[in-house]
Amino acid sequence: MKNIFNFNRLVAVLTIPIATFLIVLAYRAPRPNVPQIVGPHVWPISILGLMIICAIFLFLQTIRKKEGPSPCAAAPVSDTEPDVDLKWYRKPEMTAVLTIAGLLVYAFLLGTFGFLICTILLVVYQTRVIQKGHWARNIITAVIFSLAVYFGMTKLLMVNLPPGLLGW
Amino acid sequence: MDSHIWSNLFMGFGIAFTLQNLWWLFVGVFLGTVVGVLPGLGSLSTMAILMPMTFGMDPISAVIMLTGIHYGSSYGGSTTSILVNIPGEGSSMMTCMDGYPMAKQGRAKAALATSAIGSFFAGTVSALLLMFLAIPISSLGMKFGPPEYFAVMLLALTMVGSLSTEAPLKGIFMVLLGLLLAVIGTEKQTGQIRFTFGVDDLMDGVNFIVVAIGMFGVTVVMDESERIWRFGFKPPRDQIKGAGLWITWSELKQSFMPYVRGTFLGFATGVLPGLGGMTATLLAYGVEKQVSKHPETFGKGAIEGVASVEASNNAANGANLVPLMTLGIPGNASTALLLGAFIMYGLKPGPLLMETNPEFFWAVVASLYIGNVMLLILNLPLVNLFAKLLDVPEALLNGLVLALCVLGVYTRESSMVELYLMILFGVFGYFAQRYKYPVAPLLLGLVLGDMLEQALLRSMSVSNGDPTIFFTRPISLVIMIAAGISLAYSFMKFYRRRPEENVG
Repeated sequence: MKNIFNFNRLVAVLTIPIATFLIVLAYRAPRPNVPQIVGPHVWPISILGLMIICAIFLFLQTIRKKEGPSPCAAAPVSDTEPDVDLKWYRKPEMTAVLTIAGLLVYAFLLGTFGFLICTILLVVYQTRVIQKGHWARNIITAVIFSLAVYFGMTKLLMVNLPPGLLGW
Repeated sequence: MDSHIWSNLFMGFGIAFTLQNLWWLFVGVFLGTVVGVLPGLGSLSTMAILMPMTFGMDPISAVIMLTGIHYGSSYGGSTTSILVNIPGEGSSMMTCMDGYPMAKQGRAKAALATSAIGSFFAGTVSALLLMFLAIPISSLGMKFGPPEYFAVMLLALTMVGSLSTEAPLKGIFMVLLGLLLAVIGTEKQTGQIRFTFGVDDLMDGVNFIVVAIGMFGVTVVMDESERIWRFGFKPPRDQIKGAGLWITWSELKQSFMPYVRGTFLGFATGVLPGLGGMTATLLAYGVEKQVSKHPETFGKGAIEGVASVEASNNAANGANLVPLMTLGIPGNASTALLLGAFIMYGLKPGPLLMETNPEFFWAVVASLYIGNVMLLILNLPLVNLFAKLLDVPEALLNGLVLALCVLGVYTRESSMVELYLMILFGVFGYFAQRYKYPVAPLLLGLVLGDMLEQALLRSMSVSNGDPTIFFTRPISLVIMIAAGISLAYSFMKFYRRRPEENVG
């Protein structure tokens, strides 16, 4: 078994205990006093049961003996090959990680700093994640965009957005 | 019946032709073309991001705009396929096959013109077909009770799960995951709270918009960042300077039969759940090559290839609306989003929609005709302008899209929990895409989950708990057999393939 870590196997292995736990939870939940032919636990338990069956099939497929190289396996993976020699922080996948990191920080700071400041920072940051330079262009666009959205939303559409430090 | 259709259509035109509706239709088709042109950003993410902002709008204007984005994107998608060999939309992939070689031969304008005219032809014919099919299908739907509804939703889910992906097991798994997400929150009949784990924001359930913006918006930004990092920014683009006149009469004559074939194949494919534009274009291209007297020219700049693919793609987009508008059953992610929007605007999708809200139904149908004319005008003379969109700095665009995702989610309920959920579904969508787990079945499961459960509970109440009710009523029996066949098909596919192909 060359590759122990296999995403499908991981999905299957995680699904079975989680689904079992949720089945127990649904089964043990206090039943409402409303008379019901089918209780509110039946539907989720049926779905979870089917998910477990699916996960078992998925797992069995990942350990079924390979009969030979499949056309998919034989296909060249030219997209990823040039990345092999790159250092971890230079790999393309890092842009996805940095996007999520940026969003988490944004969500964390939104209440304190407010929509306007956070959005300007998010746009400038996300642009910088994939492209160096062009600071003036990026900052000007981010400021104009965020101001337009903020005042458009709060003054025209009367939608509440966190004002934060600026207190507008 | 026919006069009834025409009088209703005139009423629809009356509503669609108001200044407000024309404006929103224009915004929809314009945005659709723009996001179609831009590689990466698609109609799904745009519809998801804009949906919360349409809450304050008149439902007719909002749906007209959203459907405009839905079908407008396929017009724009072909522009990038032809000019730079990058499909702006997934379903425009087959347009690259002959569109790009045509552009390289200096026939870019002919390719763009045949694609725009084909899209217009197919869009208009599919609106006509929708109009004529709507009444018979919804009359059939009137005979539906809860068991039939349960069966038809089950059929839609099994078809989407098993047909929309090469690995049916993953499709079915994602449908189940969507149904499970729909369980979260308060159960309607008994008020029991399920799987909220004490989080108050989840009492009303996981909103489909949050999931859609996460999986289609945030995921797109992550994927695009990776793509730009990997392949750089600017694709070469100089083919537009090619031929002088846009399309010759003989080229148009050559394209006519491919338009007709593509339209009918696309429509037949698009009506079925799970088979969207992508399958339609593959099928149309294959058939066109088969019937052509010069199959060797395909892939080397055959105008028939572009014509049939574009017609089939647009016809499929129109056909998607048939089950949605007549039965309230979505067949793919875009129509699932539209169904969610219908419910949010207080409309009751299903066969009664035409009875209870005829002005809504016919205004949307009329808007399809007007929208297609607008798109033809936008895409023929202004194609150069849209092609310039490729010069927009992609990195900056990525940052702006991410900010719009946040805005879309936050303006809905001002909920931080939903913001974190969006991020979670963004990560989920990223991995799902990477490991070839289709996300459309999940969204469909989520949107239909509650209705499916309610239909099951009502069926059980009617039958006093007897599950054979699904097999003793003729319509329900036929639909259940069809659902069984679709599942059996996916299992056959599953066992005939190599294990690694089944799981990707």
